[in-house]
Amino acid sequence: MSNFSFLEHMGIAKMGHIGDQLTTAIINFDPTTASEVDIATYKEKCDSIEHKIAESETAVATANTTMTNLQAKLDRACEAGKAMKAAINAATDNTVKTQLIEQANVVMTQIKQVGGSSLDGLTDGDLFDAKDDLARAQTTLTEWKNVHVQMIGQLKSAQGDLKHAQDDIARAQRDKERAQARARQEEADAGLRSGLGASGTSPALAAMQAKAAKLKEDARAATIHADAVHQTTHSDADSIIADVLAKGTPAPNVLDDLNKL
Amino acid sequence: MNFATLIAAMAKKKFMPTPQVPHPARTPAPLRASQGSALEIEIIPMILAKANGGLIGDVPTDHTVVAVGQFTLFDGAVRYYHIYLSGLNGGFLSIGMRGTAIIETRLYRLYTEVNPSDSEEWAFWLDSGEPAHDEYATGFGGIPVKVGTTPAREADGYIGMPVMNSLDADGSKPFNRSWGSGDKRIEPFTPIETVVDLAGDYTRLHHRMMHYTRPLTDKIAEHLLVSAVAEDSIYPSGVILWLGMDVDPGELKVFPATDTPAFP
Repeated sequence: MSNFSFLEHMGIAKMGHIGDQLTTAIINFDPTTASEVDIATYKEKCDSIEHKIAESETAVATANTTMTNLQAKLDRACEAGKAMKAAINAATDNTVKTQLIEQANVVMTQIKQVGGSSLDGLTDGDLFDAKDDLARAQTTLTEWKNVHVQMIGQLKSAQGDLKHAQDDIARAQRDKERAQARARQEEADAGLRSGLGASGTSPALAAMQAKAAKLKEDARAATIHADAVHQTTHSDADSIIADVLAKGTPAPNVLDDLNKL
Repeated sequence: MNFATLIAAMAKKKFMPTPQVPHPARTPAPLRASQGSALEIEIIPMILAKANGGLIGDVPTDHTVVAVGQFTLFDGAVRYYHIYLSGLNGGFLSIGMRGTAIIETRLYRLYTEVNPSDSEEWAFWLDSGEPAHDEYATGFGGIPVKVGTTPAREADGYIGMPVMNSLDADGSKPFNRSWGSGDKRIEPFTPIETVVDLAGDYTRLHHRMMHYTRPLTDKIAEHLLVSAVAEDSIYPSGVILWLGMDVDPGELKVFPATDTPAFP
């Protein structure tokens, strides 16, 4: 019998309408699609199963006590029966014997009531019934425990799925925000580029180029001024600059450099 | 009044309730064995005791509860209910409870009752010894003068000794003390038992009590309960011995009286 068929059986047989509701709720519960409300409701059902487990444990303890007491009673009655048998066999007086037989009948009635036709409680009698009750109570307890384990598993699974889904939503939200931020940045960058004209040269580069041109002009002016002073033979500015630069940075003496090593 | 007479007097009390004067409240008792309830004891414990050399003998099986006594022992850890039975004059079903659990169920019948007539006879049962003390004589001018020291004397009252024997007529069989420990005499326990009878009247029994047991087999034992009992007084009027046997609660059938209270 599967746990759910056990539940259906128990639901109908022992828990009435509430049991039916419980059974339906458990069977209809789908951990993969359960909402927070579904999970809370299912948790309540789990708690009610825990209550059933506690009840079943009490039933097992009671049935066990009953069985133990009956077994003890049967043992004592059997011992008394043996004592009666010995007393009857030993009695010589008929009156005494008759009295003993009457007592023995009372004892045998007790033994049969508790021990049944086999006198040991293995086929019928109060002890047999008590053993049966105990076995039933133990089975019921085991089934409730199995159902509970299964429900807890489903509950954890549902809680995990729900958490996973919530994490996915949060992650998607963060991705969206990041994408929006990127888009905003790109728009801003695009606006800046359009402000620089068609050449596409950056203002810094333009400034550096302008500065280099200024430096070149200053160098040329200085060269012209120098030529005027030293009467150089160069005819164009570029060769004059090259000459000046060459003179300004004399070729290093290799031996000096080697001496530095 | 001896104990059997006292309990017999309780049993004879009749109380006819009327609408104006309802029946007095019965004592809530385990197994619902309150005053007025009927009680049937199976013969199995009697057969077992007899077959194994018990002294208790035949005990009637059908009874009415004529009174219920209660007291606690062992610093209140165990509460005892004495269910006095019509078929056992002075005898009772003793139910010991620890919390809500029944820990023992025994049937006691009156074994013998002794009424000591003088201090020497009382000392036999209850002597509790004497500490060492100085002896004085009257000296010159009436001033007390120490003349010596009387040494301490050990208690030798029979109640509380490690072993108590059955009557000589029953072979003087030894029962070992089952309350308290050690191999020396201990002072008897002194519970006050409150007994309520069928008419709702109270009697307080001041006990100096001890319990003894002897094994009949590895599973069956016989008990000897002894007490110097004082009825509504601290001065005992007699020493009572009861013989007892264990009864399984399953061997008892109680038919509660109609207004028997539920037992908590």
